[in-house]
Amino acid sequence: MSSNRDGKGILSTEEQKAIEALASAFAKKTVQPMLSPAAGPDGDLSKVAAVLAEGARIGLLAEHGDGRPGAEMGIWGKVTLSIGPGLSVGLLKHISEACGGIGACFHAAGLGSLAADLFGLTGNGRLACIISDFDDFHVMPCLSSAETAFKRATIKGEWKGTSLVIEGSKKFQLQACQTASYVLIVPSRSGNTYTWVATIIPASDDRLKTSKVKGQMGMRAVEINTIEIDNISIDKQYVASDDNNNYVQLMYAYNLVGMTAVLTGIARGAIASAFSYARERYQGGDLIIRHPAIRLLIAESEMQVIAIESMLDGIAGHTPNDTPQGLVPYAAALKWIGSRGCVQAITDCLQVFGGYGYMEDYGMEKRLRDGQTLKSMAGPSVTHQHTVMDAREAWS
Amino acid sequence: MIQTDFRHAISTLKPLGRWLVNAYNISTWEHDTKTLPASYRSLRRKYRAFAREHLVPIALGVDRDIGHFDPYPLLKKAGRAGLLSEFMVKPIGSASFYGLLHHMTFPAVLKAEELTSVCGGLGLLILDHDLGVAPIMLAGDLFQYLKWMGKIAYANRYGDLCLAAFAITEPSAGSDVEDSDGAAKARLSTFARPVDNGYIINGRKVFISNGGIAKYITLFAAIKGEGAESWTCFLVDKDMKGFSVGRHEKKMGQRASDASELVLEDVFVPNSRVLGRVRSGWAINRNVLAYSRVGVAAISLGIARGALEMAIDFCKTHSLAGKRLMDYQDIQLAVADMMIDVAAARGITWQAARSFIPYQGATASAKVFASDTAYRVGNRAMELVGDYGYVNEYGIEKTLRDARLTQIYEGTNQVNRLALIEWQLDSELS
Ligand SMILES: Cc1cc2nc3c(=O)[nH]c(=O)nc-3n(C[C@H](O)[C@H](O)[C@H](O)COP(=O)(O)OP(=O)(O)OC[C@H]3O[C@@H](n4cnc5c(N)ncnc54)[C@H](O)[C@@H]3O)c2cc1C
Repeated sequence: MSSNRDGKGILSTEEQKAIEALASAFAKKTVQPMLSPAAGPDGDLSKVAAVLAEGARIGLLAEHGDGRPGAEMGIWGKVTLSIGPGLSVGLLKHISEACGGIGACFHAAGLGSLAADLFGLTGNGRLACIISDFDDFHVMPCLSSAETAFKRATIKGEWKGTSLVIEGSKKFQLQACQTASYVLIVPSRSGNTYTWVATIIPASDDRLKTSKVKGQMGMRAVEINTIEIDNISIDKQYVASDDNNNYVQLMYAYNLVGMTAVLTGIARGAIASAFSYARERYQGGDLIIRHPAIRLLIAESEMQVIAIESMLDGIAGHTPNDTPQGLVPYAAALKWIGSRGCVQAITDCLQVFGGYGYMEDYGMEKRLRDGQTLKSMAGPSVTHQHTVMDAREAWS
Repeated sequence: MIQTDFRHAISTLKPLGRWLVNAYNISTWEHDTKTLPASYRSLRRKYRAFAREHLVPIALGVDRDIGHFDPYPLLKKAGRAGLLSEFMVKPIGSASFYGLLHHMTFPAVLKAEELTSVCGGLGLLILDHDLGVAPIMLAGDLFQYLKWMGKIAYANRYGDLCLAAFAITEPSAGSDVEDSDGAAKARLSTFARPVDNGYIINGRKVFISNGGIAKYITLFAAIKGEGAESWTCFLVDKDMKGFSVGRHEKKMGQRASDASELVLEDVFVPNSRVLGRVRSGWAINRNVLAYSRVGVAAISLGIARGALEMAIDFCKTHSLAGKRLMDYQDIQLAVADMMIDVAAARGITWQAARSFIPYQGATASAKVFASDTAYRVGNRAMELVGDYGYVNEYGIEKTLRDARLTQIYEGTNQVNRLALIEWQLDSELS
């Protein structure tokens, strides 16, 4: 195989392009038809499972198990460990241009699959990755020290002999429907020793309770759940540890990167729609695309997205072998700036539609709801600001 | 011990010094209310009490399940409380004398802020009636004013409900009917053909708030074969033959108020229902917009305040690491910014409503500023609470959806900016 843009010899540019074309065609042929306004503001959500199954079949959705192609080259497939997140970012953008919620399903399932690969765990079927939350705005110190994390974590593990007993809860867990197992990444304690560890728990385990968050503003194609874990005991042989806290940082960062990629896709979809609407709608004696007010709105949206895409490009080739210390603050900055910029672009594009943008039929209000929802995910914005500042302090 | 609390420290001042310090330990709302004349103070309290009693208990439920919402019981309560008859003086109506003599729109601005601080949609449901009847008042015909306004106000206060809606927007003319330049080139589709004793109207209006429930529609149509300069305002009754309500739009927010399509097929409207003069419709429309845009500013202000209050409530009742969110400086800084934003929006809105007769430049400015503020405050509120922000049960995401509409209706914010320029062009920009 010829070399990729980082020269790591895994995937040629042509191969990457072919996979991106596949994602683009999938968005148009499989995702788009699900979104008929007649079925409701978020399309026909009963079709999500079938859409994901098709995504898995063609190798875009990463799942573990025999004969499932996505685990290698799909979104957050194993190839990420060699080439970094660039490919996944591109694929997520394509799918999210059609529907952010579906994009988020691919993202969530992919992260689960990648976490299992990263920690060398054996999973089966569709996975989701759970990283413990912290009772703190400052996540950077928690991610870089298992001891600090343990004190602040909402899910943690305690070693009792050769078993790890895990307990706690996680709110607002993003996952695709039909998730079979969770890859849990939590801080653990054994006497005075603290380490980040990972393990897999089947969704069917009756000490793991899942309840759906009801009434979410947008992103309704993806599940948002509260997970409660009641003293699940895992034998040591099924637990992998992350001695340098590198993997947890990587997974944390990739989550933010993927979310921003989805947001960017939603914004790209909004720009495309606004652009074509502006070339059809007459007001003031001309097509509205001829009015400076509209040109400026679309131009500013484009500028926002171009800037965010350059940030995403900056992270594209970052692999687990590179040091992850700089990755978390970069990803935090990306999520913070990317969310704001993308949502600004989406709302500006909605404005191009005037009153029609506010109605369900044109899909713009859905984009705004999806964008706003994703913007709010992964903690309040102040968390990302502190992440950047805490990293800065740690480096100085 | 050094006493640093300002309120305690002023007790060390001499009496005159104490008298010159405003150290009341009261909310911003109370501070602002104290700046108002007595009759407005009691109005503001009345509106707030109504909103708390009748809107708070249903606001979230209605938004979630609009299909099962029956607006009439609420509207009836609003009518009985005098909220649907405020352009007519007592004993028939409930207008504030002070308001009518000093500032035409100030009471409406107070009402809009209070109602929409609880719910943008329920607020609009009640407030839109004032927009519907505004052309009757502004058409300049005293006889029609007494006849129609009296009838409508009486029905709302004491009888069966009688709501009005305002209809200018057409499928191919949205911004064009909000803007003079656009109007000259507008592709109008609703026309009135003169016949004996009246007019036959054909055409369609779209996005008409409360269009599905209004008894009367103040509807604007061009005279057949002419353009917007011939616009004439008609008082259309929903029971007229040939009038029907088309599709009800499915909206992102402000759901409690419907936005409907009105279809007119050979609707005969007698001359007695031409409001003002034939061909004076464009002037009436512009005048209505000059009044109503400050109303939208107040709606925006209310929604912004609602978002702020919900965020504050959240931060007072939720803790992180055993400490109330409100006690974190990070949170305090953001809340302060939101409070400042809301105060600024109130400033520009009240300022625009303080002239006896509102003017286009001021109300367009207030509308743009306050609606952009509402959207910004809604965003900040969501950012502040993280994932909780997008969960319907906390109400914050609803304020953002409600806020978004204020940047669109009563002319998009782009068109309102151009309205400001148009208004000031001769006096200071050319
Ligand atoms: C929920 C809702 C309730 C409403 N209620 C009512 C009501 O009760 N009664 C009523 O009559 N109307 C009502 N409206 C209509 C509302 O006022 C219009 O939607 C608004 O004026 C914009 O018109 P439009 O939707 O046709 O957008 P368009 O006019 O098509 O505008 C599309 C875009 O082009 C821009 N644009 C248009 N013309 C120009 C120009 N000349 N120069 C620069 N930019 C331009 C606009 O700013 C906008 O960004 C309502 C609308 C909504 C959404």
